Amino acid sequence: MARVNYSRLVAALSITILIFFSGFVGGYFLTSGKVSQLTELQNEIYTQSLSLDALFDLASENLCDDEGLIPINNQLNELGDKLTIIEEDARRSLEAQLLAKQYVALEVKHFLLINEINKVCNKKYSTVLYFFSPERSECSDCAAQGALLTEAKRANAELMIYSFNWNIDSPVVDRLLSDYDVAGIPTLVINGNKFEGIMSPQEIVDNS
Amino acid sequence: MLGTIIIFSALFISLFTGTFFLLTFLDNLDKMHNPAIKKFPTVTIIIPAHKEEKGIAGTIESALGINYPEDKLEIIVVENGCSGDRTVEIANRYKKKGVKVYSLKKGGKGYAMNYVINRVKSDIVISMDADSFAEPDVLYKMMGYFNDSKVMAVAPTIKSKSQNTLAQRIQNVEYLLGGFARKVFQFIDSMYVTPGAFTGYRKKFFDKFGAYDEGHITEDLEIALRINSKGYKLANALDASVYTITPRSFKELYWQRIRWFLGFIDAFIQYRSMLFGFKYGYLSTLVIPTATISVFFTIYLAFLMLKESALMAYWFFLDGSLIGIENVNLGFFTDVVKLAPFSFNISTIGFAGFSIIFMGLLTFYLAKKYSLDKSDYKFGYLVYIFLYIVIFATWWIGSIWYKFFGRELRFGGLVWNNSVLNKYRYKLFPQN
Repeated sequence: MARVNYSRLVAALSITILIFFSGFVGGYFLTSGKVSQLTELQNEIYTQSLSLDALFDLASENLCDDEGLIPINNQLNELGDKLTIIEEDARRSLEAQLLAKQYVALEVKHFLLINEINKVCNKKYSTVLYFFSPERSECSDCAAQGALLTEAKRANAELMIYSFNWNIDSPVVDRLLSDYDVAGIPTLVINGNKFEGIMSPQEIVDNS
Repeated sequence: MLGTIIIFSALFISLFTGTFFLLTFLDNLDKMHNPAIKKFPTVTIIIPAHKEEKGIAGTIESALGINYPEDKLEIIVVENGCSGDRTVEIANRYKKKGVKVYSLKKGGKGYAMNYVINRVKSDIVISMDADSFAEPDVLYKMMGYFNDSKVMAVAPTIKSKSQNTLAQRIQNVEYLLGGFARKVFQFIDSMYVTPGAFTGYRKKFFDKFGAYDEGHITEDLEIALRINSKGYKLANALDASVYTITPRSFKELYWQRIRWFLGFIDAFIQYRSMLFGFKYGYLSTLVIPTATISVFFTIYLAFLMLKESALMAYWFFLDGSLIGIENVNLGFFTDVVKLAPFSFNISTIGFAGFSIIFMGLLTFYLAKKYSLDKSDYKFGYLVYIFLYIVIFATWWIGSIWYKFFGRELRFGGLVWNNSVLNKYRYKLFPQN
C-alpha cells in the first residue's frame, strides 16, 4: 500500500485552513465596512431628525409642509432596509446591535412626530407599528408579513410603517410591547388599534 | 448552533479531502498514461446473462470488436435462468465466430462467473455485463496495468450508453466523476470499488483466495475489498471506455442503488477491520472514513435544502399570490440594485462553499478531459450538484431503512434474504 505522504496532507490542510481563514478575514472586514457605512447614515438621519424635532418645537410652519417630511421618511426607510441586511451580523457585532437600538428609538421619535403633525396640521397619516421576529423558528409568518407591509406601503404612500424586532433589548420596545399588550407575533397596531396574526395589504389599507 | 457546527465540519472535511485528492492527481500527472503491455496475457471475457435478449447481441458484438491478439482472447456467454426468452438463441448465433455459450440452470452472477472461472486457464478474466458495450481499444489500454504483479484488478471508465432522460444524464456525470475518483484512489492504493459492468481480474487471485462470493449482493465490491485486504492493488484506465445501459427512470435507479448500497453496507461490515484505523494506509485513514461521514453530511444537507425550498415555495405560492407576483419581482429587483454593493455578504461559509463548487467544476473539467469524454452536459453539472444531493440522500435513507427493516430483496429472478440466519446480511436465498 502507498506510504502516507505527509507533505501532501500538510499542504492540503494548509490550503483548507487558508481558505477558511480568508473567509473569516473577508467576512470581518466586510461586516465592519457595512457597520461604518451604517453609522454614517445613522448620524445623518439622527441630525435630520433632531432638526425636524427642533422645527417641531418651534411650531414652525414648515412642520406642516409635506416636503420637509419626505427626505427623512426616505432615509428612515433606507436605514431600515440596510439594517435588515446586517441582521445576521447584528448577532455577533456589538456595533450593529447598538445601531439597531438607535434605529428603534428613531422610529419611535418619528412615530410621535407624525402623531403631532396629524394633530397640529390636521393631517391624516396612518401609522402601523409592526412587531416581529427575524427568527423563522419563532415566527414563520413574519417574513411574509414584512413583504405584505411593503406592498401595503406601495398601495398607500401615506402609510407610516415602523417595524420592531420584539427580541431587541431596548427599553423603548419594552414600553411599546407593554403599552399595546403585545402577546404574540406578528402583531400590527394600526392607528392605535391592535391586530394579531398575518394581514393582507388590503386589510391593512382598509383598517388604516 | 449544532447546525452551524455540522455545516462547518462538513465544509472543512470536504475542502480538505477535495484538496488532497486534487493534489494527489497533480502529483501523478506524469503517470496518467496507461502502461504499454509488456507481454500480452491471455484474456477470457465472461458475459453472464439473465434474460438479456435486448442487449446481448450488441454486447457480444462489441466484445468481438475488441482489438486484441486473437489467440489470446476468448469470449464466453453464460446464460442462467433464461427459460422463456431468446437470450440463448441470440448468443448461439455467435458460436461460429468463436463465442462459447454455457447454459446453467441456477441463477446469480457470482455463480455464473465462478462456473467459468473454475474451467478456464487464462491469465485474466473479465466480467462483462450483458448490457454493456466496450470500445475496441479497451484491452490495449487496460492490460498494461497487469505488468505490475501486485495489480489484481483493472477497471475502465464506465459511461452511460444513452442520455435520453434526466436520470441518465445525472448518472453519466456520476460515472464520469466516479471513474476519476477511482484513478485518484489508484494513486494512493485506495481503490475500493470496481464497476460491475466491466472489470478485469487476475485469475491467480481467484485461485489463491477463492472466486466470487456467490451469495453476496454486490459481488464486485466484495472482491475489490478482498484484494485490498490481502495487500494487493487495483488500477483504473481512465481513458478506456465501456458504455452501459443505465436506468431510465429515477424509480428504476432507486432500486438499483438500494441494491448497490445494501451491498456496500454488508461488505463494509464484513471488512470493517480494514476500513478504519492506520493499518491500510489512505484507504482506512482517509478514503473510507470521509466517504462514510459524507453520507451523513449529505443526508443532513438534503434535509436542510428541502426544508429551505419548502419554506421558500410556501412564501412564494401562499403569500406571493396575496402580494401579486409582478410587484414582488419588481420590488425585489429594484431593492437588489439599490442595495447590491451593500448586501454582498461574504462569509466563511459562503467562501468555503464557493471554493468547493469551484473545486467541483475543476474536477469535472479534469475528469472530462482525461476520460476523453465528449458528451455535451449543458447544465448537467449544475443540475447534478443540486439534484444529486437530494437523490443520493434518498438512496442512503432507503438503504439504511432496508438494512434494518427489510426482509428480502428481489432482482435478477433471485431472492436475497436479510435475516438472523444470514447474520443480518443480505444473502442469496438458498436455491434448490
